[in-house]
Parts: sequence; structure tokens; C-alpha cells
Amino acid sequence: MLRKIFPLFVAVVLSSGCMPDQIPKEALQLTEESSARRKLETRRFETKDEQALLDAAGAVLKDLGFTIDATVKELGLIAGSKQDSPYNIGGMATSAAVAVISSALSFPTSMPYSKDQMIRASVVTRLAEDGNSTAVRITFQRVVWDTEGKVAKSELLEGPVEYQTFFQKLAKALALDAHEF
Amino acid sequence: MSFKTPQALLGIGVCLQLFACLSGCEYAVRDAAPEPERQLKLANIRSRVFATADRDGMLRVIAATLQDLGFHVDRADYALASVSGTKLDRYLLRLTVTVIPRGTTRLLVRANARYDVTPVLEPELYQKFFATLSHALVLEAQTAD
Repeated sequence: MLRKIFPLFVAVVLSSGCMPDQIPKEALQLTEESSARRKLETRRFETKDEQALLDAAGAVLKDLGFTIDATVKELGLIAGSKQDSPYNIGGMATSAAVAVISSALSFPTSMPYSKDQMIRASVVTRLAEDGNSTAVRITFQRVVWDTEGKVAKSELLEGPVEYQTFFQKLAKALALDAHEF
Repeated sequence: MSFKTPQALLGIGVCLQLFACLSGCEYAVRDAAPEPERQLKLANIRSRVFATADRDGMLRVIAATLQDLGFHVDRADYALASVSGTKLDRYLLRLTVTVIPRGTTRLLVRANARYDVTPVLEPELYQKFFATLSHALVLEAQTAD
């Protein structure tokens, strides 16, 4: 029985990261999370010197290990990326367990696990509504590839740590306070 | 009917070789452009005209709108007046928005979306994007006045 169910289990696990056939209906509309995301990703600095902000933001990204891929100062945009390895002990352990169990059941199967990741950062600045300060919004996105070279995960980072670290460093570089937006 | 294995294998081998050769043939370049009528319909779905001449302001509002919609703004071209973003959420959606002046008082905003590698043709998705952009522009106008 286990011998029959196991391949099905592996197939389900492997296909769980597949891209949906249809574009989700909410893909191009604001959701309840949009305002919370904006709050997480945005800080206001009391300066109108957008150029200085962009220069400082670029320097902070470099400090954090990013390579600058694009800069469009006229539109207040800096984009960067960095590659590293995701910390994926769980994935490695599951993969090893699948290999051992499948070998014991006489049909060796390998299950890929997350191996490499690319994190991309995009900083967009704009004059805030009060006209005296500048809003800085950063988004972090990551793509994770598995040991077979396939995309295992692609997402906008939601954890507050990366955002807080960036804004703390930016505030320090500018010697200004970062106000919540 | 006698079945002679070596000859049969040779025949299969020749057929496979032929298929392999054919699969490497070059395809003629086909004009993939849609018919003019369909092209016009697509352009209407993907475009809106806004009563403002502030090109830079429009580009910045577009970037902010893309971020609000969960896109990662990764490319922009000031000279070409375009901003692009990608949305990764188990799927890949790429949106490029271009601003083109229409006379001296209006701007044409054109959006092109791709879902993975397939162009998005559903009008509803563009309607939702332009609705969000219009809403952001109204807010902008309110704060500027």
C-alpha cells in the first residue's frame, strides 16, 4: 500500500509549486493587505533633497551586499540584486528522508530542495504630500531555485526585518529620522 | 507476413534520423502582428487618456501604483517614458506602462501585461489597473490643489 501511495505523495509535493493556469483575479487590484504593505515598505524623511536620498539609498543597498542594476534618478528609482543561498535545512532533511525511504521501498527517488536564491531590491522615492519631505518605498523580492535549477519559490518578501534594517541604515546615513508613512 | 527485425530496425532508424533532421529546420518568420481591427481593439483595452500634461508626475504615480498593487518596480526609462514592474506570487506577471503625450494637455497611458511569457488580453485586468491608477491620480490632484 505504502509502495503505491509514495510516488503519488512525491508527485503532489513536486507539483505544489506550479504556476496557476489563470491570472488570479486580484492580481491587478488593491487588496486589504495593500495599505499594510505600504506602511511596512515606506518611510518619510524630512528633506526635499531627493538626490541625496537616492545616493544614500544606493550606498545602503551596496552595504547590504546588493549590486546596483538600474538607476533612473529623474524618476527616483534604484534597483539592485544579490545572490546567496537560502538557509534550507528542512528542505535538505526532507529530500534526504525521501531518498532513504524510496530506496528502502525499491524505487529510488530524489526530491529537489531549495539551493540558490536571488533577492532583488527596488527603491522608489517621491516628494511626500506635505511638500517638505520625501517618501522612500522599498520592495524586496526573491526567487529561489532548487537543486534541479527550477524555480521553487518566487515572492515579495513580507518579513519586517529586511525593511527595518534598510530604513535604519538609511536614517543613519542621512542623519535623519525615518518617520512611518 | 514475415517480420525481419534488422530491416525493421533500419527503417525505424532512418525515420528517426529524418525526424531529427526535420526538427532542426528553420521556420519561416511569420508575421505575428494581429489584424488591424483586432490591433485597434487591443490598443483600446490597453490604453487610457488622462487630462494632464505632467509627464514626470504621471510616471511617478504609475510607479507608486505598481508598488501598491504588489509589483516590484525594476525598470524605468525616462527618455522613453516607461516604467516596468514584476509581480511574483507563485506566478510571474510583468507590466510595462508607457506615457505618450497627446497634444499639449493630455497624456496617453498604455499598459502591456505578460503572464509568464503570454501577453495578457483580458480587458478586465487592464480595467482594474486603470481604475487604481485613476484613483491614485485623483488623490494626487487633491493633494496638489
